[in-house]
Amino acid sequence: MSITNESIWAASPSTTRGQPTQLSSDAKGERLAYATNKSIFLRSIDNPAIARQYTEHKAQTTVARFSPSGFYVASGDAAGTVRVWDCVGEGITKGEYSIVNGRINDLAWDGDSQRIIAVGDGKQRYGHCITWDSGNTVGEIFGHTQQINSVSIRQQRPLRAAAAGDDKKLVFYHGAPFKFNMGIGDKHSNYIYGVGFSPDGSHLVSVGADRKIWLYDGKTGETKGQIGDGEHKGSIFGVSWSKDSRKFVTASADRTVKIWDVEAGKSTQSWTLGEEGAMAVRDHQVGVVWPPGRSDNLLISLSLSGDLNYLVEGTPEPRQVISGHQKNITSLGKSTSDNKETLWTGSFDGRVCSWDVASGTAAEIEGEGHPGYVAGLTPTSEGAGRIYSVGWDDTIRSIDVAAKTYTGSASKLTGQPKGVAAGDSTVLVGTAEAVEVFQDGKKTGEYKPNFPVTTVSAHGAVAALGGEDGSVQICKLSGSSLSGQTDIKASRNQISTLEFSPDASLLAVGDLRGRVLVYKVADGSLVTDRWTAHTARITSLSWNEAGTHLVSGSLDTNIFVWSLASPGDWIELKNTHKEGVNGVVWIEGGSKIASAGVDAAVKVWKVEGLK
Amino acid sequence: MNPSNPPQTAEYGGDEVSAIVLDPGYSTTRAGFAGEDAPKSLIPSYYGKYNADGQEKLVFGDDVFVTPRPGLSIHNPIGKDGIVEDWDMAEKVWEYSFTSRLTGAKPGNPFHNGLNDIPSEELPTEMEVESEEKPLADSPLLMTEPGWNPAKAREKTIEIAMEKWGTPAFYLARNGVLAAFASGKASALVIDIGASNISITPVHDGMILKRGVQHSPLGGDYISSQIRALFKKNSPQPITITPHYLISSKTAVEAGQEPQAKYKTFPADKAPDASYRALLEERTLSEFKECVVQVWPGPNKLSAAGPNGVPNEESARSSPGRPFEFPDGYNQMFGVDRFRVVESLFDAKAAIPDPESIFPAPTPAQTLPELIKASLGGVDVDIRPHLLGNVVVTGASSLLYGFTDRLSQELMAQFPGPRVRVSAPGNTAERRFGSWIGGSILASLGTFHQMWISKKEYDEHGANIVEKRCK
Amino acid sequence: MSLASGVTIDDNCLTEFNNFRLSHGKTKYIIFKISDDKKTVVIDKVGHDQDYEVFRTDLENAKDSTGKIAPRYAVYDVEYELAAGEGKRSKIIFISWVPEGVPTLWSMIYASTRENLKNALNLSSSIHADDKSDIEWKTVLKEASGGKA
Repeated sequence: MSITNESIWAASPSTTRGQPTQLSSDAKGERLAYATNKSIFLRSIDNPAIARQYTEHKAQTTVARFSPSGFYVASGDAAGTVRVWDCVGEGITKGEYSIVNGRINDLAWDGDSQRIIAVGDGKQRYGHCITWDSGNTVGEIFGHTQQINSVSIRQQRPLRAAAAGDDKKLVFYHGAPFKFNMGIGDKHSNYIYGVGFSPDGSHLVSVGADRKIWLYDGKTGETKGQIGDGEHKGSIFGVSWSKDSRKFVTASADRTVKIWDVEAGKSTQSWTLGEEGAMAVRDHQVGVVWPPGRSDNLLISLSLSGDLNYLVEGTPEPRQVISGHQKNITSLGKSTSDNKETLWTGSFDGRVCSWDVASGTAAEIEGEGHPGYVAGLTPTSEGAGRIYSVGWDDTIRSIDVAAKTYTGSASKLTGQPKGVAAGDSTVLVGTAEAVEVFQDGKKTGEYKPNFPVTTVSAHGAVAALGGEDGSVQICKLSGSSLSGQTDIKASRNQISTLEFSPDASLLAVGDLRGRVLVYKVADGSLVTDRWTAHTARITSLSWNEAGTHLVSGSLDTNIFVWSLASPGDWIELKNTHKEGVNGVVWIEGGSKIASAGVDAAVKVWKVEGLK
Repeated sequence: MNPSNPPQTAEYGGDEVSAIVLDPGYSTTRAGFAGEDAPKSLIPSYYGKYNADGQEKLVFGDDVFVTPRPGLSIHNPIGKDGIVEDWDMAEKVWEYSFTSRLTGAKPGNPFHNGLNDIPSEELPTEMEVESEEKPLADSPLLMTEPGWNPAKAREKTIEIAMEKWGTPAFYLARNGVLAAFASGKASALVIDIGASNISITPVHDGMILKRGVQHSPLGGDYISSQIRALFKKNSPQPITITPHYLISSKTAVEAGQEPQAKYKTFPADKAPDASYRALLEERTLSEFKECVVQVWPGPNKLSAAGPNGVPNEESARSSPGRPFEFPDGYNQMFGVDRFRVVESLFDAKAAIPDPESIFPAPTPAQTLPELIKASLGGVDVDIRPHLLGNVVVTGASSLLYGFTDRLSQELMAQFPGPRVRVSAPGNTAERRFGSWIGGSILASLGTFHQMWISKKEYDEHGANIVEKRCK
Repeated sequence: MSLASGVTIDDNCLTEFNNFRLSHGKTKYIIFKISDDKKTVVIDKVGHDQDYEVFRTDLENAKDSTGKIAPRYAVYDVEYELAAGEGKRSKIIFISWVPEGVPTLWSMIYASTRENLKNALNLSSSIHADDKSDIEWKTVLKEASGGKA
C-alpha cells in the first residue's frame, strides 16, 4: 500500500498592486521560478501541470532566481532571508543567509554562479553581496537611501553590477569584490523598478515608475540615452533581455508588454492584455521574462491577477494564459460529466477555478462571484450541471458547469455560511443559527437544530449537521424540510466536517482537534474511533467509490488514508500543503487523490495497493 | 507526636493525619490538605506594612485589600524571577496561608496560660524547652518550587519547614514535574504561564532536564504592564484605572464618554502608599484580562499577513470588539488592541512601548517561541520529538482566550517535522492550581511515605538532604 | 531519587515478566494495573494471542472497578522484519496507556509510578500513549524497531 505525489498544479505567482514581481527562467528556457505565499514554485514552461515546490522559507517569499549553471536557485523572503537550494536533485538547502532587515526585493547571480547580490528594504543596509555556498562577503551595497527594487550583475568580466530603487538613483558597482563606482541620480524622476545587463554585457537598461527607459554602457556605466519616451502610459515594472542582446521586453501597469529594438531605439511589438474598465487593474503587467535557450521566441508576462501570459514574438494574441489561485484554496469539489472529471476550487480572495483532471489546466470562472472567502462548493445535477458556492459575503451563487461562468443568480443568506451540501433536489447551507434549504437557487425551507451549526453534509434523502458542542444530528430530507432522526454526541470538540459514504450507510465525522470517527447512519452506532493521528482541525473528508477507504485532510498539513477493513493500518502523507490542507477528494475511480490547501496549489497523489 | 521519631506510614500516609500541600507563587500562595480537590486557602503572596502607634504592623491574606490604611504599603517577599528574596517575610506569608484556614492558630500551652493549676511533678521538663507548639508539628508538608530554584533557596525552605514550623516530614517537588504527572505524562514539555514568569520545563522520565529549563519575566504582571501602556495611549482618551476604594458612587455613561463618578479623597497623611493603589488596580486588570484580552490565534504573528496574504491586523480588526466597564463607570469597546497587549509574548517587536513601565522592552529571547527553542536546544536530540508530542500547558495566565491555539500554531510552524500535540486541562481550577492538585494527590498516597524526608533524616544530614532526595 | 508515588511493584509482576521473556514469543504481552488501594502494581492479564489486535482491544477497553475507562501499563513482544532484509528481530516495548478523560487522580498515580515499573523491568524502549493512534500497531512497530522495520 503506497501513496506518492504524481503532480503539483502550481499556484500562480503572488503579486502586489503597484509593485514589481520577479520571474526567472533557467538558462535552457525549460522552467520558470517564482514566489507564491511562503513557497517557491519551479514550473515547466511547456507543461505547466508539472511543477516542484520549495517550502523551507518561514516568511512570505518574494523572489527566486536560477543560477546560470542551472543547478541552484536562490530565493528571498519578506524577513530578509535568502536561501540557496538544489533545484536538480532533492531540493536540499545549501545555505541560509540573513541579508537585510526587511523584504528581499530582488537578487542576482554572477556569470560564474558563484556570487549573489540580494537587495531589498532594510534598516542599516539595503543589500549585500555574498558567495552562494558559504555566505562570505564579496563586496558592499552602498549609496542607497531607500529600498532597492532591482539588481543585475554583468555576466562577463570585468564584473559590474547595478542596483536601483525608490531613491530614483541607479548605483553602478565594480567587482569583485563589488564596490561603489558611481551613482546616477538624474535620469529617473520616480522609483526605479527594473535594471538589467544584456546577456553579452554591452548594455544596461533601467525602467521605472516614471515610465522611462534609460540605456547605459554595460562596462563603464556611461549613460547612452533614453528611448521610447511617452510610449508606456503606466509604471514600467519589469524588463528582460532577449538572448541575442538586441532586444528587450518591458511590462507595464498600462496593461501592455512591449518589445524594444536597442539599435533602432524603437518598440517593435506591443501586446495589450485584458480590457478597459473596472477589471483593468487585474491586467496590470507586473513582471516579464524572456526565457533564453528557446527556439520559439516565447516570452512570458505576469498579470496582477497572477495569470501567466505566453506571448510569441510576431504573434498578436497570447498563445496561452495560465490561470490558477494566488491565495489559500479554501474549498474543493468535484463534478463528473461525460466521464470527464473536473475539480472546482475556491480561494480566500473569492476566485473560483475549474481544473480539468486529465490535463491539470485551470480556468477561472467568469462572471460576478464572491468578493472574498469561498466557504464551500457543491455540485448538483440541476440544469445541465451546476456548482453551488457559498462565500463570506453571505451569499449562495451558482456556476454553470459547461459554460464555466456564474449563472448570475445570487441569494442572500441569513448569516455566515458554515458549509454547503447537496441532496437529491435541494442544496443545504449551514449557518450558525439554522440550516437553509434551497431549490433551484431559491430558499424554500429552514431548519433549526438545538446547537450552533458548524458544518453540513447531505446524500440523497439524508443530511447530517455538525455542531459547535461536538453534536452530530442525522436528518431526513424530504422536499424542502429536514427532520432530526438520530442524535450523536460525537466529540468533546467542535465538529469541523462530515461526509457520507457513497451508499449513505456510513457517516465520517472530523473534529477540531483532529479526530476522525465513523458512525452507522441507520442507528448512529459507532463504527470506529481509532483514527486520532491528526493533531489539528480536520478540514476535509472523502470516501472512495467503494466506501472502503476514507481520506482526511487537516490543518496539521497531513493527509491520511484510512481503511475500514484494517483500521490500524493507515497511510500517511506529511507536510503536503504548507500551513494546512483544506480539501481532499478521490479522483480517477479511486486510484488517485487530489488535495488543495493554504499554499494555493492543487496536488495529485497516486494510491496503490489499497488493503 | 514526637518529631524526633522517624515517620510511620500510618501516621501521615493514611487517614489519620493529612499532609499539608503548600504551593507558593508570586501572585498567590495556595495551601490545603492533601487529598482534597482544590486548595482550601488561596491568599495573595503580597503583604501590607503600616505604622500605627509608632509600631510597624503587618497585614496578610485578603486583609491587604480591605482597608486603605494611612501609609499602607504593599510588598512581596518573592523576587520578580520567582525566587524568594525576603526569607523572613516569605516564612510569615506562607505560615499565614496554612494557619489562617487550615491548622488554625494553635492554643497556647495549657501549662503556661495560667488557667490550669498543674502539680509541679506532672510538668514535663521537655515542655520547658518546647515552650510553644510549632504550627506544623502534626502535619507533613509538601511544598512546590520552580525548576530554577537555586540550591541555597531549597535548603532555606527545608530549614524553615523543619525548624520554624516543626513539620515531622517534608518534601519539595518541582512544579513542572507535578504538572506533567497531573496530565498523566512522565515525559512532557511543561509550559507554565504564571504571574511573574513564563517558564519552559522539559521533564523526561519523571526528572526535570535542568539544562532545558528556561524562563523569562513575560508573565501575567508583564501583560498588566502592557495593558497599562495601552490605556495611556487609548483613544478617544487615555484611561485611568480608579480602584473601587477611591469611588463613592458612579453613574452609567455612554461608551467612550467621560466617567461620571464621585471620588473619595484621602488627605496626604491618611492616604495609603502608591503600592496599595497599584495592587488594587491589578484586580481591575485581572478582570480585564479575563473579559477582554485575547491572544491572536494565528497562524503567524499579528503583525504578519495570514496565509491568505491579508494582514492579520485587518482580520483582527474585523472581528467584533469586546466591551469593558471600569470601576468608575467609564466603558468602551476594545477592538484589535485586545490582541496587541499579549502579542509580545510571541513577538517581541509587538510590545507596546512605555518608557515609564517597570518592565524593560522585551527581547526576542524572552518570547515563548524563543524560550521553547532554547529549551529544546538544551536537551538531547532524541527526546525532542517526545517532548513536542507531549506539551502540557499550565498556569493561570495560560487561560487567556486563544492562548493554546496560538501556541500550537507557533510550535507547528517552528517544528514542522515531528508531531506536535498540546494538552491543556480544560478545567480552570486544574490550570490555575495544577501543581497544587498534583502535590495533593501524591502527598495523599499511602505509599508516598518513602519519599518524605523525616525530621530525623534532616537532623542527621542537614539541609543539604533536600538536594539528594528531591531531585 | 526523582519524585515518585512510592507505589510498589508486586513480586508476581517480575516473576511473570521473567517467564514472558523466556517464553520465546509464546507469551505476547502482559498488562499491568495499579491496585484499587493505590499501593501496588499488579498483573491485569497475561496474553498469548499472536494477533496484535487482541492486545490493542484489551488495552483500549481497560476499565476501573466502577466501569470507567482506566489507565494501564503493558509490555508487548514486538516481532518485526528488518526492512533491509536482514532478518527477524524482536523487542519488548513498554507502554503506558493513560487515555484522555481519565480522572487526574489516576493520571497522576500512573505517571508517577511509571518509571519505577519501567526500571524494575529494565526496559529502554517505551511509548507514552494517550490517544488511540498511539497504541496502533504502526506506532508501536515504529518505536520498537526505531523505524527500521
